[in-house]
Amino acid sequence: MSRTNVKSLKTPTALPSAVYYGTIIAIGFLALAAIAVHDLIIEAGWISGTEWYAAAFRWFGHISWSTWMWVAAIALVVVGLILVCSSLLLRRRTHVGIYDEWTWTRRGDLARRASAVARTVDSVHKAHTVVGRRRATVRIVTTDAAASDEVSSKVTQALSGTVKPLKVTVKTRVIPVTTDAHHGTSDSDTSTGTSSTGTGTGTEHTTEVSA
Amino acid sequence: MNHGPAAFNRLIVFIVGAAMIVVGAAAIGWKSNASWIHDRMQRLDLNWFRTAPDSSWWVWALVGVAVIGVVLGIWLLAVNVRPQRARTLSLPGSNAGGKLTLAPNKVADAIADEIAAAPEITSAKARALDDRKRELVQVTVVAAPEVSYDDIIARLREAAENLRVALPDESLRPRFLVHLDGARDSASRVR
Repeated sequence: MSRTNVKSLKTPTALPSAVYYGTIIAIGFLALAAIAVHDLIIEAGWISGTEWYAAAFRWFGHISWSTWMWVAAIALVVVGLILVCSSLLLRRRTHVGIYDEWTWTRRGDLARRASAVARTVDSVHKAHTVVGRRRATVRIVTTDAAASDEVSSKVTQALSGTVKPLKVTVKTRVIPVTTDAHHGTSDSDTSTGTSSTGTGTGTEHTTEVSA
Repeated sequence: MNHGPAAFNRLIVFIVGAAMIVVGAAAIGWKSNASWIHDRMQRLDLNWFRTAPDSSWWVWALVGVAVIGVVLGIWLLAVNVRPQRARTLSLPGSNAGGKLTLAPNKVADAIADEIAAAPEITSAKARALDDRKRELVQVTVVAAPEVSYDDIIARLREAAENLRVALPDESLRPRFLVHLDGARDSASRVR
């Protein structure tokens, strides 16, 4: 699908947070301009009133410390720090690549797919997946301890399309067959834990989705 | 948002933020008797501020603030309100006698409709955008988690091929975001 005369596609990202602050600052610039126009109209004698910039300069010329200035000064520093940090923050990546450069999905969607695949195994009653940067951890509640290998194999296959390989780990909680598993398990259930691993495909930060 | 406008936007936000920190810190330092700041505050000619509005250049300063404020404000707003707006496509066959154009969002809608008609797909929506100098039709596809990525990707490849055939000379390319429905009774979180 790639065309030789165009640049490669970029990873989908959220807009830089500076965009939102930039919009507020833009409105601030327009407000400063509006005040200047207001003062110019008064200077021209078209209307009467107080020139706001002139009043502000004269007030500053007689400035002395007041208690409220503590609040204003601290607020200025805090807001200033937020603005400086947001101007330096990188764009947040929202998706990870699957199959090729023009198809993307979220880590949460990979987790949902893994849980759905795990639930297709007969003995599995519950499945819950966490997808991190390099690992997908599937926690299953099952009546058959041997289900772990089948789940690992199926989930590895299901997530094999991701561009960066994921290591698939299955953590198993075995419950007695007689338990009404569809209503879930409680902490008092007798259970044994086992795990198995496989290799699939990759991610960037931890996302957890119960599915 | 492309790199140029994004960088300018970041620069403006940085300068405004740094100015606020300097003013706030100077005020705190002034009251805290920090000697370095106190020395500089002592050198500040407050009388200049009292007499500045009566100076002959005051009107021109107001004109400057008005012009710079309007130019910067409108420019920043234009950049930030629709930061990824895609340009209108100019089609082959345009000449001095007339220009053939195509709104990229119409292309996006057609692709979304085609994909949404597939039985594996729950819904699809698309928009044309310019992401860091890449002209894209970004299609967000929603499917059930029981549907395999392979089946979804097969549908998307068909749509991508149709776009390539329809607009072979254009730099407009598809970008598909595949989202899966969450289970109704589940909670999800990101950490």
